Amino acid sequence: MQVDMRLIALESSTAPELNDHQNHPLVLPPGLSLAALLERLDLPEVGYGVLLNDRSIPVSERAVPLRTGDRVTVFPAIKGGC
Amino acid sequence: MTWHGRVLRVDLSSESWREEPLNRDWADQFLGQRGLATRYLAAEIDPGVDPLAPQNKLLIATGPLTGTMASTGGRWSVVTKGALTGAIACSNSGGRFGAELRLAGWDLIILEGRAPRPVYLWIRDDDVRIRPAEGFIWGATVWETEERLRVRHQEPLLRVASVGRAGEAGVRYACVVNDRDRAAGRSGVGAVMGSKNLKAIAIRGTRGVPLLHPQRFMSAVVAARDKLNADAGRDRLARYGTAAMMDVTEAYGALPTRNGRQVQFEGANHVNAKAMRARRASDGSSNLVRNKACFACTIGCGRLAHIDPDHFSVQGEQGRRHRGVEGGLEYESAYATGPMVGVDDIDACHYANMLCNEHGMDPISFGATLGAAMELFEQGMIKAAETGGVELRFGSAQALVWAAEVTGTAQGFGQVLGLGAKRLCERYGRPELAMVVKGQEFPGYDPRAMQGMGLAYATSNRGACHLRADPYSDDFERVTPDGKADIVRRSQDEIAAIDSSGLCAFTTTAWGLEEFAAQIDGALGGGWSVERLRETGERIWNLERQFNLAAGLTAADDSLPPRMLGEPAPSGVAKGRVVELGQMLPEYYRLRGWSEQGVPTLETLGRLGLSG
Repeated sequence: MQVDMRLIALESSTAPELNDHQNHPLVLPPGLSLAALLERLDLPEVGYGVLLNDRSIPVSERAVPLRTGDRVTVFPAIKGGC
Repeated sequence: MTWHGRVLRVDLSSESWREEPLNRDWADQFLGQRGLATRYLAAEIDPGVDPLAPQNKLLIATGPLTGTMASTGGRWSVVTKGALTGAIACSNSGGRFGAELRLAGWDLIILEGRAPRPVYLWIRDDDVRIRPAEGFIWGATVWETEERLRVRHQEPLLRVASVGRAGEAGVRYACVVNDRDRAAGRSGVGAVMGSKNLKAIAIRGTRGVPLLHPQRFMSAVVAARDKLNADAGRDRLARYGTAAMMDVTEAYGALPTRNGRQVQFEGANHVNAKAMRARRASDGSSNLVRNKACFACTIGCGRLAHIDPDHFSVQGEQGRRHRGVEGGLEYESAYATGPMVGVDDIDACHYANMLCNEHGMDPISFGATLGAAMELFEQGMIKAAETGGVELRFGSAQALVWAAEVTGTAQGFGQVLGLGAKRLCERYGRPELAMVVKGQEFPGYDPRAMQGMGLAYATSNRGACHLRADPYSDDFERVTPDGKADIVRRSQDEIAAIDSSGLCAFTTTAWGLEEFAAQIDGALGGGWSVERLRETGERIWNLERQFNLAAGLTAADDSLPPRMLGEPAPSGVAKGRVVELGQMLPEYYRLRGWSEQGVPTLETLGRLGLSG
């Protein structure tokens, strides 16, 4: 299974190819859930925003299984400033 | 303790000053900075006064932790009735100026009246002087002003807060700039300072800041700093700066683009944090040079940057002075000089931001006003004859650079742009094209994708603002309006307390109110707890609301532009949505303990000690 993956302002220790913050294809085991993907990426912060195919996915819905061709964007729980 | 207990009251009309004791009861009730200064202002002026009249006052306020070793303990505020909004204005800045005021032995400066001639205020501990500015710094830029004051007074460590030519000329969104590129930026506080013929405040302080429980304070400071240092959000702010937000709002569809006609910008990759770090062909350097931190800050989110020497904006003799390393783009300035006006030229955005610093004007309001002007131009309402032939089209870097210069120096059509988006659009008969609340322009978040932010903009006491509430985490998870009212109300109260402490809100990436309470109580004593901070914040919010109601604002001012309420977002996660303000606002009023007309009830005021 292959998804289109992008990290924003985050760096993964297990998938360093994502750390340029561009879109990359990511090959994953079939049926892997969104939550399991986040765990695999070993991201540094506690909370994240997640877009799956341009839809925001709350924490409570992240058990959803991924499918080939999905677009996943992950960004930090960021706050605004100056 | 921690307070010196000294207020400096300056009557500019008579060019005289006196010392008076700090009102300790008010400090107990309102903490400091934003809360305390608002209490003084509300007691001393008629809220209905013309903001630019001598009867308005301008307060320079510190918090109990300003000037201490607490991480980010350099915050200070300007409080007045805003020239842009006609509402309460509290504009918060960092740098080193606020700490210097405390180190000089003063807690608060109250500036009243209007000087009969341009002047500046010079303070060296107890030595206070009001000196003529004409023929010296009046008419000078902020940068020239700081340099000339240091040379004349032979004080390399002199800290200066001043207005540029925008403040002198009454640009409605002029700000007070300190330390070259930090600013009390919003609501037109610089226009009020300029209207008083006060060019600058220059301070050198050689005293300390007293602490009630030094050991307890330092224990709390070290624990809080360690927690902040280990936080991934702090690391991100240092690494990417605030501009990391650009990719988030772009991906989410919350990036106001071309005056809010779109919510995603195809050129975002050219004006984001990554673009600031990209090596360029001309000199092998990047736009970003290094980080910059304010007094006592252990985050260092500030950026120092320089323009590509081959860029059109820095050619010729005029451009030479902008080739150096200066304060770089933050997210808000990048949004306002980039997507909001459709420009994807990072050097042009940086140049416009430099002019905002140099001339002393708020880049958010400038960019959003220019965005409105571009829409008016493209609709044929503004003619090229009015702009001296300049085509004010979305995406024009040349128009952006030109507009920043003529606005900051109040030349020609720049005087019209200096009115702000609300007055500009009213002038051309299209008030609905102004992306404003209470006359203040939108920051870089489209509320159709961020419902909580929509409510935060609408109810902000100083007009559209991204720093008066913290709905971010929830907004970036849910696009529906349910539950937003309580998130906005609670965070408004917490931020009002934080803004009154002398510390920076960016610390909330790691800290809760527990860390603030421990540090405040160590310095000040008196039993400052989380609950007391929450109640103090609610008291401040309601005091600001009372001021605005007395100034003539009503529930009708708690609204958003028709575009946000009636034109669905064209793309992004909120595609097809508008702001559901009609659902959120009544719940917000109810949770606040206000009437259906948005007026605090007697019960609410009594509970907060505001009914007297």
